[in-house]
Amino acid sequence: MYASTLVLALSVTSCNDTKELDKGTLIIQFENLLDGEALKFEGTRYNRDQVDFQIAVLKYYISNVKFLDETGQVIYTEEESYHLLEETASRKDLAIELTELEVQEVSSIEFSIGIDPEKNLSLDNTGDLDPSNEMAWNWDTGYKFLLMEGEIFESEGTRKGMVYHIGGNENYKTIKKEVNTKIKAGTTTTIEIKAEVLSLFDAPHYININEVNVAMGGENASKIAENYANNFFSINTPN
Amino acid sequence: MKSRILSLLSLFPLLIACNPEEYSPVVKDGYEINPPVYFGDYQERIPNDNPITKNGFALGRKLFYETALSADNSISCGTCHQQELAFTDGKAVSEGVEGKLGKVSAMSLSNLLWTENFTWTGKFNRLTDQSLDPIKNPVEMHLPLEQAVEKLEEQGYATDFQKAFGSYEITVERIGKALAQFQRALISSDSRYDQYLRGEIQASPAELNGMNLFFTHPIPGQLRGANCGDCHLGPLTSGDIDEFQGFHNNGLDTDETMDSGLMSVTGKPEDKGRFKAPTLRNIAVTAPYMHDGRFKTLKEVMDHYNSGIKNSKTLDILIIEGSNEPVGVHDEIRLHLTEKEKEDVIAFLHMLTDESFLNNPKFSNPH
Repeated sequence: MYASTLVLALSVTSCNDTKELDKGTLIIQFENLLDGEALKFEGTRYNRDQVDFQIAVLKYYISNVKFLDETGQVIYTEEESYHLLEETASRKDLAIELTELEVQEVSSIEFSIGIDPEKNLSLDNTGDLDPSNEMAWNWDTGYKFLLMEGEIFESEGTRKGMVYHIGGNENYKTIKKEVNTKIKAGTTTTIEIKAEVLSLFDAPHYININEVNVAMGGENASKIAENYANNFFSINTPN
Repeated sequence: MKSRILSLLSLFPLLIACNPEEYSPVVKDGYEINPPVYFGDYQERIPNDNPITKNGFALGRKLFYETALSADNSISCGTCHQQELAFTDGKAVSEGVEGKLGKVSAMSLSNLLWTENFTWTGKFNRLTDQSLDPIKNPVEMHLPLEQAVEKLEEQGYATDFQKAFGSYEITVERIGKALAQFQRALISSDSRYDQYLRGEIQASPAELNGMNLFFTHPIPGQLRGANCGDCHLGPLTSGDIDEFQGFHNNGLDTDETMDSGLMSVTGKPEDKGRFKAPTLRNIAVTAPYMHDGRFKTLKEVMDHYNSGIKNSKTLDILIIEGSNEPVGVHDEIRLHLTEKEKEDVIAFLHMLTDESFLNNPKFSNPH
């Protein structure tokens, strides 16, 4: 009995981490919105283009996160920077945590939606790029960069899906956002990024979801990609 | 004294579990599995308290083929999960003791480290629990688990348990753990498809076309696809591992006639008729197909997906929106593949047969 208590105590003390105290942490917290309100899933119907619809799942890759200073110089590049953000009715995985960061002013952040061409067609990926997750297409096509699935209720007794699987190297888009924040020693800074679902279908290309209820490659996928490059993400003032 | 040593031992996983980022797969007497990198991460699905060890694997294998684990000593796990059939039994539904028929077809056992929520309905989250159920299940081996322990003691298994788990004690939990170790080691990764992925062989034009069709969701007028890879993901060709996302209603029946499927576990009406998308590895040797074994051949399976889909309230969206021809919402759900395309997909499915897995002497009956 004594012995086992002792072992337990040892195991607890050995868990102390040795994080350097002069480094900081940044959390990039995404929030999915629909028409400005927190996105709700199956069970909640929305209306657009004269039809009701609901969303079942939304996933997208955020990759190659960088910080820039006020002159536009890259001052931090995350290594192996691939993050699968996903949200369903029962699952919410929307935060990117960057640790062990130098204390510095960050003027803007840059990240991409999708997977860069080099990694996109590689076989040997693990972690968030695990090829056995739902986002991998195959070796010729690489990953789905953004996946949104749901259902449209056009008329009683019929079923119509919403299926948007956007991938392909041409749809890899890089986004830069001003953040004007500071990495502080021993502190966690949070940046909140809102992702507005309707903006995937809004500008520069208006897409009628009832007419284009499926897009997987081709012209409509490229339009959605240009839309997500344009106005999918917006930044809240960081704390 | 013995119990004190045990309690000390049982605290060991705590030490390892301290930092999950640096989980150490180095295990004394570890059984090497060496799966290909393109299968993806798996370490997190090997429980810290049940690493695969050589002696644990050996015990699991012995138990897997142990007929004493059935009420009348007539059958073992290996009866319904035969290696040469990729651990299936060739029957529509499996037969338990005294010829009792179950309701579902025996699932193939391979690459279980890349799946969770076992059985067709996702009934068991842990492989250990799944492994114990058929032993006690009245339509399977029908042996109360406490009797299983007694019978194994009589059969002289104590030494095997000592080697595998450090003490002679035979427990229900340990039976499940050993069976889980054996089954986690059943890795199939040397099919012609794997050899193709590794650049060791060329695929035939039919196989290549079938492979592309398999993984492609069709877009009418733009892209031909057989729509298989939406549910049978990536090189594992198995369902999504997260929660119940890998469970789908694939249009076998109407609302009125369908089995409850995942709904029997979750209680949710929207889960009615959803079943686990199994791995398709070695699919050419695991006929008959579907949870109830209703299709005898891969041709019948392809015909079902191409022109036999029945609409329902829970039919998967990716099937509804999967056709090679433009369709309206009131049209029947059809994939519109050509005969040649169906044959090519079947050619690709045959690439998934892994002879070295089906014949690996390490997985055979040791008795």
